[in-house]
Amino acid sequence: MAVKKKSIGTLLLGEWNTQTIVGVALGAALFGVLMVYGGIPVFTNTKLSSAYIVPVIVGALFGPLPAALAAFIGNVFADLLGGWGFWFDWSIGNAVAGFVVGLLPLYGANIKAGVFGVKHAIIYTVLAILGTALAFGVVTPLFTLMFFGGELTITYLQAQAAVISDASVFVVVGLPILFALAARYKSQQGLKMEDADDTQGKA
Amino acid sequence: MDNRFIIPLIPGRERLQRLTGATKVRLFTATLFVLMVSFDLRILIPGLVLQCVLLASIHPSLHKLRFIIVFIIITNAINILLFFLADPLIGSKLAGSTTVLFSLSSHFPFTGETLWYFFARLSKIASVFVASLWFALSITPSQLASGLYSLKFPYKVCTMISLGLRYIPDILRDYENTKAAMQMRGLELDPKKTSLGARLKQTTLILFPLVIITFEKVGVIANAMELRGYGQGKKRSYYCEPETTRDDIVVQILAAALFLVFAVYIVTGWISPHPDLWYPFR
Repeated sequence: MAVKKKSIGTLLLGEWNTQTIVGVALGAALFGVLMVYGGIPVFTNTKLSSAYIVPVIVGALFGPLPAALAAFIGNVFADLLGGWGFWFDWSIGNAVAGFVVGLLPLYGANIKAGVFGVKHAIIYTVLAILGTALAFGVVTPLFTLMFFGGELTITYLQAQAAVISDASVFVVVGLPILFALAARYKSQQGLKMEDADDTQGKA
Repeated sequence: MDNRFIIPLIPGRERLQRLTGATKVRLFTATLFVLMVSFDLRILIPGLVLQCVLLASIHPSLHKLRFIIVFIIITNAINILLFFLADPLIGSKLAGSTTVLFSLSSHFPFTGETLWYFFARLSKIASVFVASLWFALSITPSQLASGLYSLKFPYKVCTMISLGLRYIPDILRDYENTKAAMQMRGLELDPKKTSLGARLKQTTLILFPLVIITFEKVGVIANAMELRGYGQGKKRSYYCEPETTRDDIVVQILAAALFLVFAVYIVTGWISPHPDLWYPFR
């Protein structure tokens, strides 16, 4: 497998081919569905949202900007599906979190080629925590102030809860899925290599 | 579960629903701008009335919407209560004056400004909610895409949105199937019967097949789109767009007027800053 060296710009933006577009679209749909129906009950009234697994995977497969878009559009879908009105401040926060978590290809993790080791896992964990803190601790309150004005106490309370719960989803659910996906793609690739003469290689 | 999904796939028959996607998207965006910008009841109350008229004009079936409306009312009531407990003087801080009406104890005085602020906040949330309701009920995914395209969004982003909306029902179905299949294999999903660690593990067990199913479709759909020549041209036109009628022009003028209100509010705010909360009875 000759992996072509890509520039930082391409890595950041992702390649805007049809695959990426469809990937973001389905990712966003999955995000919306999981956000509304796929909570993990922790206590009676608190839920961890399993939706945050989506930007991780979209980021791993397509890059950070597609991950951010999937999280943003997915959050708008969730608002539509749940019918609780649009909260663009949170959607923007999700986009930022998605972007940071989706940085996977930038530090050498390549899920499609089955490359995801302990080093990548550590960088991913640190980024996931920093990214959620930045997104929900800084960006979302900023936009809440801009859109709705006035009171921030409640948003800060919600933001703290969001940082803790989302970062834990990124790490506790995200890591096993990343490892499993990498292993899965690796085994597929092993199979392809043996009779790969006339089948096209994966980009 | 599916009947809560309210976005229609076939355009409706009412006048508002027969408008072009471009018109509906413009009206909705302008509405959001105006409603988001202030806590000023002089803007919010006419806004709320306009949104209610628009919603009523498509004769929504109240039976379908009842659940959502009750849910919204309960969440916001709790929210307002939390706001009051967190800071009973919030309205006074924003309005810059204090009028105590009566007080339960020295810690929780009811001031006119705070009640006014809560009223403004509720009308703001209610009008944004009603606006998103009529918008969701009157637009189809393709019209949404063509409407956004008419606002100069790149058409690839528009495709993401319409394609995503199209696939939500499919993914809901896959999700239910995966869950049922996992339960058949003996996965306990009742939160009362399992520990947190076990629940996290189970979620991963459901998520993994769902993720695989979803992202395996990506290749198939992308190939089908590419075979039909998707992504070749720089521009894109939409089949779903009906002809622009007189109604469209009237509504677009209304949208432009709303946007003008927003612009005037911002500009006058630069010249002499608006108070954070407009309060008439001081």
